[in-house]
Amino acid sequence: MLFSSLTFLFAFLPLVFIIYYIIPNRYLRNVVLLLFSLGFYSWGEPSYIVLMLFSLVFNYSFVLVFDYCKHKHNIVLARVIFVLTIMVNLGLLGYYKYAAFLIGNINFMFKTNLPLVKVALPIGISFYTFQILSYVVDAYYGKVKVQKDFVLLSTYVALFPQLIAGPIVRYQTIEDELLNRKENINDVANGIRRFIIGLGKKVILANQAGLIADTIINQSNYVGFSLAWVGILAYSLQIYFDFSGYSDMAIGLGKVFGFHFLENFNYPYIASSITDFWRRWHMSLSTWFKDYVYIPLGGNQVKAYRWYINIFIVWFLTGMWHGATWNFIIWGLYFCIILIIEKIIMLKVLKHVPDFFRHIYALFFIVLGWVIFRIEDPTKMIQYFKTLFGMNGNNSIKAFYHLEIAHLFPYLLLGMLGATPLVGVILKKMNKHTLTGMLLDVYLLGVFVVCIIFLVNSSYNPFIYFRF
Amino acid sequence: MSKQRNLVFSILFCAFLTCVGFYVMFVKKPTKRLSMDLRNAVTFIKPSVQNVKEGFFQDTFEKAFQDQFVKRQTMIQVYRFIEHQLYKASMLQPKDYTLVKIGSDVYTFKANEDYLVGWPIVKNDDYQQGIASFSENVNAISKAYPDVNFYVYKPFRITESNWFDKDNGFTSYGTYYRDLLKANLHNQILFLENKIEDFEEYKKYYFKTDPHWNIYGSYEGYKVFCNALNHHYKDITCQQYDSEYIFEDFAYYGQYGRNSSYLTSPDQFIDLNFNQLPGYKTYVNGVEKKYDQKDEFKKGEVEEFFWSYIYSVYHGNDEALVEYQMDQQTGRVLLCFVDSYSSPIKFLIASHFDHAYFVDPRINPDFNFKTFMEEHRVTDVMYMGFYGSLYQDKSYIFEEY
Repeated sequence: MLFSSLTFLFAFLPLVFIIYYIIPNRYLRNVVLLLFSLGFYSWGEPSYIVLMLFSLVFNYSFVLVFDYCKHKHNIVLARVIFVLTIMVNLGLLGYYKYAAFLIGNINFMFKTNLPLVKVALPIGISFYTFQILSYVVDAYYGKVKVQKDFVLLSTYVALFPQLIAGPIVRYQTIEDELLNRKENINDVANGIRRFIIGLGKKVILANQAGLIADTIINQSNYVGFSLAWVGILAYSLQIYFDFSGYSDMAIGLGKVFGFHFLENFNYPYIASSITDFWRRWHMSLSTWFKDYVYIPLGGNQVKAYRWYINIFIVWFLTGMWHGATWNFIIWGLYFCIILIIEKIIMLKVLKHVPDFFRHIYALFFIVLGWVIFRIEDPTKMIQYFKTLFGMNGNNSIKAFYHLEIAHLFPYLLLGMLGATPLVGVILKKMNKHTLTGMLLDVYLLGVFVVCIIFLVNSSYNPFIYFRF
Repeated sequence: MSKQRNLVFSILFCAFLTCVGFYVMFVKKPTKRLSMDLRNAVTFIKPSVQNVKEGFFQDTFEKAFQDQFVKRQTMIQVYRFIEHQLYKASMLQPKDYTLVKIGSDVYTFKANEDYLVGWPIVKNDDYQQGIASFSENVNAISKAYPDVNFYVYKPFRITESNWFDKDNGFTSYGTYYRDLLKANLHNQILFLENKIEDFEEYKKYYFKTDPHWNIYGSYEGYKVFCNALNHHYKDITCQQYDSEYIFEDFAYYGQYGRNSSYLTSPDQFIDLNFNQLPGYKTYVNGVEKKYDQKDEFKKGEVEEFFWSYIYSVYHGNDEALVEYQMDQQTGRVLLCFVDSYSSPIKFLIASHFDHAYFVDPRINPDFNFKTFMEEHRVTDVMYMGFYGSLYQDKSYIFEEY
């Protein structure tokens, strides 16, 4: 189920909200959240609920077992079980997400004919596996207390606001809130406001930018360099508003139920370098890799060559995490190279460059990165790069007319504005005062109604009758 | 104050979601048809272990929620209005040909003056093969019935033209395949087509929002056949129409218009009145009944939904077998394989025969050519269909003859 679906907004959400707040008992409220979260997950993936339940039971019990071993000073056994737990989690992720990719590549390289694994990717498996891993690792190293209550641990893992598309919430972030949170009307209202902002980002901005991007990129053999840039800029806005919109909705829903998740985006397109970009983009993933891969590998406290290897490993895995195709791996390595260059020299150079040019520099490489991310087929990807640099395509103005996307440009302009802190600052200021706050509420309810109109319109699906 | 504001906001929002959701699911009378979408509305179904497990219940629930949503049509109209205003406001108005999306990944062209004209035919090995199979079959059949007159009639469709090639960098193959079909047909088979010289002529004879010919185009199309009949029967003169009937207040959107939601430039729907035709009875799939619904439309006795499909419903739907039994003795019997291009002119074609049988092979797969010829005293056989039917549709090929 998607947050941006009428079913979620008008059936699931009111139901969970009412039942949750009718029940006075904190523990039972967690039970309600857990049951609804499992229902939320199984709505789209009835068969994979079994996998989710297995994962919950397995991790709950194995963490208890290695914790018991540690208390009995059987460190070796504890370590074995810990490693086994990690391997099973990564194994499940690997099987469902990467097995087909791996076998396909083996078959290609060694001319073998191994049967391909044809399994559908369980929704959100990358997110909830990383959440579970953070709990398992933190519990093993004593950074968090082992959760002895199955319901509470399951509520953390399966909590529907962040289950499918993040942010990757660490157990330590909500450990205390699982039992001791205090919902209040301010959080509920601010959570709803945040949810509406996220919904607006997704439904109004991301989807319209996506129409432009899809139209141009799908017709890439037809467009010239100017339209190619428009297309990839539109995609840059689409992916930002799509993902940050979803994070906003997740954070907002968390607040409605008394949880406070960490921010996931911080205006990434105003970054002044690629290093800065990755401190602002999908922060929960960046910090996860930093804390659970980069630092355990030694971070930058090692010899230079080893440091580069560490960076390589992190970015290879970052690319892999995004998808089981080569373009994602190349995308990760693309940023790996830029970040290494920045660390060696570029950041020093950028210090002496005016702000404006630093932003242009960062945006240029970010946007080029999205070409790799968006276009899976290497031939088409190279062709698109050529077009971006004027080596391909026709620049006839007719192409522009033909695609009939000019009317969507206001959404792009809105998107560009929305990608800066300006709107956020204004909304925050409005929210501080009663009168402007009420105006803000009216505005947000208006945005919500517009979102509903857009969502209802997406159901406009005339019967396509091709038999003449 | 802030707390009160938050309380009011939260209650308003949650109450809104709850009330609307409850109304849609439990109170609102289910909508049966979506007149705007021209399809049946999806309604809520009862869950069962099987349909939940398969995900069918969930899919249906989501679709039903959208289709049954309160004030759905108004909301779509608001969206269309916003979109239309943005179109108008966009500084870059389309000047000539524009891609228009008509399906998930299907585009067509909007040519000058709001004509939606479809993609041109490109090189396609299936066409090549299809033309060979079709012509081989028709040639063989015509040889098997040397006393019967055979015609192959391909109504023109703009996607066969090369009018847009230069401006769009295409190389269309419409003419190539047409020539190929004509060359492959046996000499005794008359190849017929309504030639359209250029886009200006096209505009007179075809709809803006639909690939079919309009009433003037179909009448010209009928005359092509009538003149061809004249090769064999010298007494035949073409029917002349007496007057026009214009549906004044009705904006017609053909299938390209509906499917692309390009609803800014409608067609006018016009019919021609013929008062001098011989009387006739029609049998649809063996049952005596009226084939068209012209009178019903003219009297306004047709459901709103059917107005969108006026081209087919007004003239008569695609049916497996339509028989015209004319009140005259000509000694001629026609067997005609048709697609939807024949709909407006079936009665005109039939007016030159004692009996005319119109078979739509696409929806009459059990039709047996041999048996039919044995049971009926057929004098003329015509294959009538646009290029898609003739080049690609295997149902136009008859194994038994």
